[in-house]
Amino acid sequence: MINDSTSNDAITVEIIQNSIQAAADEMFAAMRKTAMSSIIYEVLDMGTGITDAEGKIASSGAGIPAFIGVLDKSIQFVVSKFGDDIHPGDVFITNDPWHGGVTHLNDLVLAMPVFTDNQIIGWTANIAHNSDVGGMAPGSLSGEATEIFQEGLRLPAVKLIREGVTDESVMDIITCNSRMPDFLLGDVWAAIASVRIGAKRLEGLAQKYGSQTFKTAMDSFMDFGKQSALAELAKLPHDTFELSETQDDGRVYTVKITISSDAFIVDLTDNPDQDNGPTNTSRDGTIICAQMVFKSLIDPESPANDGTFRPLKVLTREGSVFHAKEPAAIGFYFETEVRVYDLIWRCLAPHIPTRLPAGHFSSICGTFVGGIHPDTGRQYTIIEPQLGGWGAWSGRDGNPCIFSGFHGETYNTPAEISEARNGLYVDRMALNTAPGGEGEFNGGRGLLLDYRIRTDSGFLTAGYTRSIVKPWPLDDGLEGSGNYVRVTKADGSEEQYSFVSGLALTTDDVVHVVTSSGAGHGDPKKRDRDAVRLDIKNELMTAEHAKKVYGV
Amino acid sequence: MSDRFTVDVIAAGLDAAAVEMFDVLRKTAMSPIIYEVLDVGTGITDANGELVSSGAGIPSFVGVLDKSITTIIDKLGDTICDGDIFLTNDPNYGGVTHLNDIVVAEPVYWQGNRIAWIASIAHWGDVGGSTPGSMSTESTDIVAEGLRLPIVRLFEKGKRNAAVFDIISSNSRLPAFVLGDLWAQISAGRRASGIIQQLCDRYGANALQQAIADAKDVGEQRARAGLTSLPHGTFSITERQDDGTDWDARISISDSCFCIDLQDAPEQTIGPYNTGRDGTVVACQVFFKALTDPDRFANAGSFAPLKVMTRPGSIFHAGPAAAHAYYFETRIKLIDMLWHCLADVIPERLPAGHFATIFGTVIAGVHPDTGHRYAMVEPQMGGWGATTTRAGQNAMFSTNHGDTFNCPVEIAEARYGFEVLQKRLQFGPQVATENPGGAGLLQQYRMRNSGILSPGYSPMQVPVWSKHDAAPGGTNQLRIQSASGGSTTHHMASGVRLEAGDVIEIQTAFGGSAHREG
Repeated sequence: MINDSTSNDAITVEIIQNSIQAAADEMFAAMRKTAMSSIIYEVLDMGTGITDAEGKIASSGAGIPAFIGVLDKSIQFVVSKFGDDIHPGDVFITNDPWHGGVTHLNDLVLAMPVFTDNQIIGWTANIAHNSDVGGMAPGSLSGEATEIFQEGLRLPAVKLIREGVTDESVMDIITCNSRMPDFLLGDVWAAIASVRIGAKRLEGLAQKYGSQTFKTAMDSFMDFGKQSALAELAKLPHDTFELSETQDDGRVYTVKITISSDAFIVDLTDNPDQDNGPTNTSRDGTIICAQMVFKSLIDPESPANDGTFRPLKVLTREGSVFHAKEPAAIGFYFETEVRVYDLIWRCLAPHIPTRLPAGHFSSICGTFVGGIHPDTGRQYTIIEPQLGGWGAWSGRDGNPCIFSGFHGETYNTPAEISEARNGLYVDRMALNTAPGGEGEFNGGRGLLLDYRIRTDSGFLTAGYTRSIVKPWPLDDGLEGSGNYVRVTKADGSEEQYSFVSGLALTTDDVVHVVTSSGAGHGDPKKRDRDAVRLDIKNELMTAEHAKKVYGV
Repeated sequence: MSDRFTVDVIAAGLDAAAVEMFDVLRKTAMSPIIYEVLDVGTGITDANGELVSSGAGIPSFVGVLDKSITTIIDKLGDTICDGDIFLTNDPNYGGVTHLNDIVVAEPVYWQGNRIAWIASIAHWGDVGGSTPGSMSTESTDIVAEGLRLPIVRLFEKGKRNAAVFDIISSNSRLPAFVLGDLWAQISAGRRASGIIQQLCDRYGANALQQAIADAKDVGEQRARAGLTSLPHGTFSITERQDDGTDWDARISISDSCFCIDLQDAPEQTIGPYNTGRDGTVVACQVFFKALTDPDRFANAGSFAPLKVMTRPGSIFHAGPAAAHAYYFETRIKLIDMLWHCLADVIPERLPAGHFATIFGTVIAGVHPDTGHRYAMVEPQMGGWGATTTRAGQNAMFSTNHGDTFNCPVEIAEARYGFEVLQKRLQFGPQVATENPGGAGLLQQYRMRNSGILSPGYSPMQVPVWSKHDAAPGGTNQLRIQSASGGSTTHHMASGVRLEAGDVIEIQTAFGGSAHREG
């Protein structure tokens, strides 16, 4: 072992920091390779992270940006709940937003303390979306839910493993309360394997370099995060910005952002009361949205740590839609989170144009299709975020068909996997060429995805926003085309939805997922003529439409 | 060998343990459904889970506990230790009834050997799920009905499992009540196990085992004696149900066997009206006990001659995913059918039909005075049937509920914050040559705050059956008189919205009548 006193040099510290990052990535890889559910191993609807002993985030693995900020909050809750009753080999589990779970009950967080010499030196944790955790509807998410009790099993930060010994009672409760118990069990063990491999790596690091050096490296990395955040903050416009925006359901959301040299304050106190339905988010969830925008403004490249977020302050009002009180329903929290994320973004975009493009499709477009698999006779549930178009920048068209800012580094499920796993046909997956998002620079195209049902007992649940109030343009560009889902029944009748819960589906019904283009930037009449002609040639628009909008 | 007196003293001591357990539960529970209504049961089994003694409580709960304990032994076997306490509420894991009924069971050890088990079952006001009170008429699978506890260790060698407690309280809409009721069940069990250990201290484990064996022998002898007094033969019945399906039963009685064949039953329902096979067996046990030996506490011997045949996948033997919330309406209709089947064969034991519903009534909301959430869960009373020699009993609980009580008006008003406008008997028409059925009940609640109502009862499309061609009995009804005018009727419903000033009127059937003798 290298002596502590001689090993605090910058190079050693840097090596430790990168090793911690590598451990978070390895945790991610372990989970991905061992999980049972395609929502985890294909879509990567998950995240991993490492914190210090108090639960301050030291490093995050890959995964959903909106998940990274969850794990520190979970660990801080576990630390405050269990205090001295935390021992080597323990593994904790939570999924409840009032018990450190932050998001919704489908997302199980597992956390493990890392010990050297009987001292906690850090924590490893992960979060992943599980297909069914019970509740009133298959898939556990229902637009009809009015209380969290209807959304599945609540795990209020409990020990799943005590000093290396699995608590079979807790494991049995978790699996028994799911409609897909073997998948859940497989995914939970994948998560356990992931936190254990991370813990082993951190123990190795602490042994190799000494736990004091290890701790110094973590602390200095966080200080560095704070310093670089402050340095970037100094370059932003120092002022107060306000925005009120009407939502699809008619409510008005309001934000006030004050940027100064040492603080970035997001004030969301003046917002509607919490909803009776499941579109609420916890305060922790709202903080994460502010963290995501903040991070993309000050330092989009490097992994986040606790120091990065120290200048950020978020103000909310308890009992409001952004700070829901127990026991509010929160199943569709993600649509509320993506709304507040987009609200903050929109508020600042005109003032910080180099970092923030025009509005993107900005919905998770959470789509849940389930039923009995026609070939295996077993329950299946598709849980899918959708791809959509991103907004245009000054000087560049928006990206077509990538996930929302909230979902980031996730993947869509390949048609072959979906057909095999879920027993339906993917009739079509194409760019959505509907008018919308035109500008001097165009918004990226949205998605068309058609599922043809093969079972008589199917259902559709979906929750899309930006259906009525569409993605917002900048500088005289045009708004995006809008998100929705359309169902063509086998008898030919059609219906369009943005929020639908438990709609019955039968064989040969087709679910058309339609996501929005991003919004445009600048007056379409100024668009480069050759670019318009190329779009016509590529059949992204008709000559007639081009003439009308671009005058070409 | 112990002498006759010692054996009897020990047997009475075991009965006393079950009764004392019942009393502790009653005195310490938080919820009126337990301490007032007594929607509970207690029992003691031998080391292998065979019923030794049941306390007071609901007849249909008595036969549950031995099934829970044998399932625990099957699942956990050698890992069971002194100081363990187990929980189950899932009919697929020895829970027998529905998720609201929590079974708490613990083994009793003396000098390192397991000598008995004690267990209690009680209805908890809320265990999560899709509707307040956890009994939704809309659910189509058991996962939607609330927290499933598939045999879990609540205590391990005397050490409390905090994780299980935390999960239970955070998955109930009434966490303080369910934790209070859980501790009441735990302390009731501790009381009973202490008494059993004291019996061993005084008389030794061998004497205890001998007394248990003796009690079972006596139970079996009494059951067999009862059986010989019954008419032998095969009797069958088909009864039309409210949902339009027909149920069939065939009962064969011989010297050695009382065999109930339910294999022709309809397929299990999509909705929550199924019972597991264990539940069906309990219903048959209640009926069998009433015929053969109605006076003494039941034990494993009491049911030795009973044989029940069911078909997996049917409404009486539902599969693992089936919803169960209103299992009790299915069970009570089953008992009523068996009873009807033999009513003319054993007229002195079996009067005409009774109102034959639990009439589960859940009213939940926020108390107007305290601001706390409440959930009233109550069965209702109704009229019982007449015999040729006497009129029916007025306003009693159903066969399944037995030894329970209605909640006093004052308690209901204080605890739940609504008004009870009236509670009175409702007689049927009188026919000169007939003994009338007992009166049903008319009850009105007026809301002082908004809330929700989830009723579950059988409306009786076919009125309560009478003996031969005597005038038929009544039907069950529930009506909401809206404060804003208009009224609606309901029978199986979930989460019916109530506003302040709305009046809920419950009317239960009067019993079936019978021609007067001579």
